[in-house]
Amino acid sequence: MLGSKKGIFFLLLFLPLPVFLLSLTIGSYQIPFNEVLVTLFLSIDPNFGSGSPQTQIYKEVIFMIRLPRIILALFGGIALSVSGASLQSVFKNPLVDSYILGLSAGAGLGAAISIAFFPAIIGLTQLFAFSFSFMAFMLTYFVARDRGQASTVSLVLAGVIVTALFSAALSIIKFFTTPEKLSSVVYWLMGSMAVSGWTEVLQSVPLILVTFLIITLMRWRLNVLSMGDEEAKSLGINVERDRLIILLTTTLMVSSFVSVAGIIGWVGLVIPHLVRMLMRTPDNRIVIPISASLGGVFLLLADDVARSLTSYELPVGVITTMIGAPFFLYLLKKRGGGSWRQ
Amino acid sequence: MRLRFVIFVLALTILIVSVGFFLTTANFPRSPQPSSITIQDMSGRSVLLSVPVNKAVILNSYWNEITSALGASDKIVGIDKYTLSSIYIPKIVRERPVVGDLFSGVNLETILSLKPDVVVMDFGYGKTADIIKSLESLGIPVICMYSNNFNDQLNAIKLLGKIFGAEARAESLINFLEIRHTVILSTASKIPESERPAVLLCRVEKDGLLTAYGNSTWGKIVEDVGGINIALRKFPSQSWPKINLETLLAWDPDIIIIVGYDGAALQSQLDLVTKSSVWGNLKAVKNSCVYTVLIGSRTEGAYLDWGPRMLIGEMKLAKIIQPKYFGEINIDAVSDLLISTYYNQ
Amino acid sequence: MEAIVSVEDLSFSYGNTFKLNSISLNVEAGTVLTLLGPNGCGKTTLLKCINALLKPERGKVIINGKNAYELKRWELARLVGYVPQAHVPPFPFSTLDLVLMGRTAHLDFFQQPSKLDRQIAERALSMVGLSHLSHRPYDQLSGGERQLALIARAIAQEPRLLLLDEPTAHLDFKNQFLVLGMVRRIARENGIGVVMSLHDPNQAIMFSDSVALMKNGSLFAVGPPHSVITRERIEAVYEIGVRVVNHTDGSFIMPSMENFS
Repeated sequence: MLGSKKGIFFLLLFLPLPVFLLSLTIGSYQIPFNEVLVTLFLSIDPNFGSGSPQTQIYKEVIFMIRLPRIILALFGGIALSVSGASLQSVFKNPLVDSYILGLSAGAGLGAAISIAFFPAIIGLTQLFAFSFSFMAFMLTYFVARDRGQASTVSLVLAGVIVTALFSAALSIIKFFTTPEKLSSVVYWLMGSMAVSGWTEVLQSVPLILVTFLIITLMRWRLNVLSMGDEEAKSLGINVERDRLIILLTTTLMVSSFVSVAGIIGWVGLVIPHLVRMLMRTPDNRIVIPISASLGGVFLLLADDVARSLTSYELPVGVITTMIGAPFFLYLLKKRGGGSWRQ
Repeated sequence: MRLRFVIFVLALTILIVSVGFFLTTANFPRSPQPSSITIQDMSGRSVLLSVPVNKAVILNSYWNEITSALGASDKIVGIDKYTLSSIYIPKIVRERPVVGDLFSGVNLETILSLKPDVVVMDFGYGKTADIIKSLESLGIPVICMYSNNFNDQLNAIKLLGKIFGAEARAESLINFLEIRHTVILSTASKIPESERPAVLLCRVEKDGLLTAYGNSTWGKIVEDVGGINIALRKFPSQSWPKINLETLLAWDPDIIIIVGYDGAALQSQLDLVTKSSVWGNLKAVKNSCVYTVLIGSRTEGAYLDWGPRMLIGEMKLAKIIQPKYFGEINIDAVSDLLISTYYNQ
Repeated sequence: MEAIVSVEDLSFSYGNTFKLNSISLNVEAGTVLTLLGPNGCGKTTLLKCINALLKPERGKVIINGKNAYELKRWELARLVGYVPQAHVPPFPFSTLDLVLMGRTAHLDFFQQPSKLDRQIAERALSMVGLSHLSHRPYDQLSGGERQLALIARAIAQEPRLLLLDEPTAHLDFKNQFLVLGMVRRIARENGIGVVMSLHDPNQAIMFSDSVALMKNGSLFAVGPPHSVITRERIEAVYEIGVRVVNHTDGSFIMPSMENFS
């Protein structure tokens, strides 16, 4: 399966490690590189030695600000790119991403409702965003179902309808709400991990981890599913069931991240595409794990830029789009669509 | 059997997530402040603070404006994005690092690197809840501010004076504002109901709709100075109801006051009004009772805003709505005095 | 000999029109049955019914003694290999990966193909003579090679029955015969039953052990090629005048040129 690609495979697979360490040293609070290491060692072994007088504040910066955010960005990138790669296989279309089933519109509406009507309850925005994006998926699935079957075409169409419906509802809320709440909704939709801490990590990472495991174990089935319903059935796959499991898993995966970080676009589209190009194969046994590591690295670096380029915060969703969209254009032009065909 | 395993895993996952949500209350220990006092902030929280503070990050332009008016501009070490556009805030404050804003979030590391003794900010909207939680977990005290009427502004001045050790100056500023405000209120309260005009305070939006000021700080000022705020009477619970032209014709207010952040914004709204033949049918237009008032802090002469300048804004509305009772007020003299006493350092 | 598949009284309809009307067939191990008939006569529908991709209103399909409609997909895929017409999938898998997909029915739900599966796939590829192309992206293969690769995938399933839907469509002259020869050889050597649909009566004569002639969803005639493919039957089914040409290798069907003058 790997052959001569073994080297690049393991290089890319373990790329998140150095980027993770690098990200710990980046930030608008100046911490020398060696102090970061000292702080890390001190946290493992308190008898490692005496740090500088600022060690306490360094510890706060590294463990309370940087670490949770880095973990969130890493797993967010995994969630977005792995779900993108999976859905591209299920829908037999490399131009699909994790928002095709109406997830983003659902999450946006849920967040807007909680911001507009229940602003005082902490954590409700996340809960609402999560449940509404899940609800949007269920609606899409059941609208698409006809005689017990949900074909990919009707799923895409249903996704468009549900997205339109939820977006309209979102617009109504935006229209009638107060200017402050409107701004909150708009900024929420831009996506950001600015004030994310361990709470957000706890709320999303465990679910992302479990769903990622399921998708990883099903990566061979994804290959077979991408051949089309009839062929996959002939090859021994219960297409309806397996597709539902993958849709459900990716929905949970993306929703749990979107609910804490807002809508962050283009990761799910660009990364799997790039991976197929780099590894020269559409084989999901390779594409899924490498998409995970590159997706994590991409969102992590984008967030590093978002939090360190200026003294304030840039919305990371805008950064991923500004890198992702032109890069995707470049891929298409360079390859002439060669890594996939219609 | 395999399917059952998948269902089991998914169920387990949902369980883990719910636990995650419940753990949201988990708090991390913060280091205690030496020689600190407890301050009750405007959200009702008790905050341990060593006063007077020497370094503060203030995340709203009006609290920056008040703090500067209290002579503590040198103690502001970090600001929010919107403070940049206020001309009523000293330049040295506007040159401080921008740490973000309450809608899109703040850069926690920047705040930490500024080593503030306190962060002052609004609460109850945008990302405020998350920001407060994050700052507190980093051991930075947060003072939450709030305002819904004139008195809240006075309380805010008092609180900021206490935090920055400028109690005397705060007291004098409060007196300056309170005396004049009380006179306006008592004069207005004597105006008979029959002499109170129906007033619409509004913004004309690009699509021809109007955003009216109803149950809001400025909407209430209309009533305070002897007008009938027609939007507030029709929609008592809404702060900024949106109304269309038909509703406007049905209400047919005696006075229409259009607000905008700068001259261009006012002009473009007036253009919309004059272009529309509908507006010609209104009493207020026929009687030349359409007025414009600058709001916010972006241009010279904008006084309807939070902060000390709210008094001048109130006077402007009083003069427009009840010229018979407030015609004598010399607004320029009061604003000159306010600006020269509290805004020039 | 024992029948690998027996179709019993199968009927299938779309709306009010019968696509299949009371079809009964048997295929024995190591033999090739060809479905012959004009477009829309129900060949593809019948293949899909045998593979349980379509559920008929009436009738049964018994494969290796088991009712096809009561089996789970993976159980059925261990018995039946289905070869679709050569196509271009949206993702350009390598030829070996494509063939490896044939092993899916033998894997557990969360399992990836093992080394053994890979060896089976490689052997299937070498059986169709494509070993040298195993790492080439499938979409860069010629039409004939693609059809052979799909056959290899079905072989990797290790089925008892092979279904082929017009395996010669879109192939050039040489490749048509290459593929059909391969199918017959595989059937004989592995004792697999084969059901395929064809357009050319002559190819049916050359490569099948029995022929089922279909018209309008009904069986017109079943039996050994030479007894089924006669001038009268072909003219009745295809509604075109034909001649029988005798040759040392057997007799063949030619359209009469009067049809076109």
